[in-house]
Amino acid sequence: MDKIFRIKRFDPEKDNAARWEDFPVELGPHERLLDGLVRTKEFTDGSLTFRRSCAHGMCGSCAMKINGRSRLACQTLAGDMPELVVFEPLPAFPVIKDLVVDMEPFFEKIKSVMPYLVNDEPLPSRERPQSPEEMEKILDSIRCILCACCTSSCPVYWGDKQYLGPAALVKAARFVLDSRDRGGKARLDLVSGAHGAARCHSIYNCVEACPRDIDVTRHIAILKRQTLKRGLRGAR
Amino acid sequence: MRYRLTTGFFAFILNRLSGVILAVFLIPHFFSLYFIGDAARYEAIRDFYNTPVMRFSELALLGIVLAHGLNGIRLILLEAGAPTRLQKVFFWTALSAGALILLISIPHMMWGAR
Repeated sequence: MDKIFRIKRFDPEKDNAARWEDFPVELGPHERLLDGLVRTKEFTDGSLTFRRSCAHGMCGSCAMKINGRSRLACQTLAGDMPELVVFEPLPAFPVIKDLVVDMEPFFEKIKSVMPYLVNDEPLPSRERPQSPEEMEKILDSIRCILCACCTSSCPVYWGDKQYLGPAALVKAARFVLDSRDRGGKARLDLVSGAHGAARCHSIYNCVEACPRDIDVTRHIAILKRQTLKRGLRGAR
Repeated sequence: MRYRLTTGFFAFILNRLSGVILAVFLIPHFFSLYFIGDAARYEAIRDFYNTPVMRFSELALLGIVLAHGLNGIRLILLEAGAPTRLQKVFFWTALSAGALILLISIPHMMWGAR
């Protein structure tokens, strides 16, 4: 199966602006697009730059815009793609080189919502137990791999770089819904305000882009309702 | 920013556009109400709204109100907890319902007695 990989390239040391370059690639229908990128780098052009790590949809490194939407190159089969496959870096983030973007603005947003368990109660002798029902509430959101497919696909984030974005809001919801966490109020305060959960316009691009099939917008809607309730009660 | 147009993205753009149009419309609308003043001017404004161009404009306005209002209900339902898998169904239902109401309204809006 012959494919044309049209890749948006940018080398800050050589190029003034991004340019397009085509590479013919031979791929079996069950091979992933990442296999084609690796082969292109190994045999055709060693300067082609992209991130990859696990190649099994677990690390989120190879997130990029492929044929118009954010997704993982390692999770996209050649057989599901047309002959022309267009690769671009993730939208909305500064490009470092070729398909590599600066993820720092993304991780800053994640860090800003206290993405860790807050619990000052005395440590139990073993683990902090959770019932299956309590576990069920966070089962969806704990699967996030921080690939930034959601945030880069969000039109609200394109227009407002201060917006926390879907990934940070899912991370906040993951701990707000966690029965073991005690930092809920502080975290709800962090996600309220003009650039928080209420900024989401329920466009659902994030849900369609998420390679882990997380119902992102549902989690943001939960935060919207909880921050609204907290606001109406006078933030006690 | 070029990105694949999804149903939700299309609904968002439609809602934004219709919202802006309605907000802009409200300004001359309030002015026209404010300047009615006396009976003669009321009659003049009424005759103006009875011209085919204005009747068609009102029909278009109804379409925009329906698109904005029904999509607004869709968003309220979804943000109140309706499942995400229904978002596309809700959108096409809202759009179809709006189109149906618009179609039914055409005879009255264009040629009905005023």
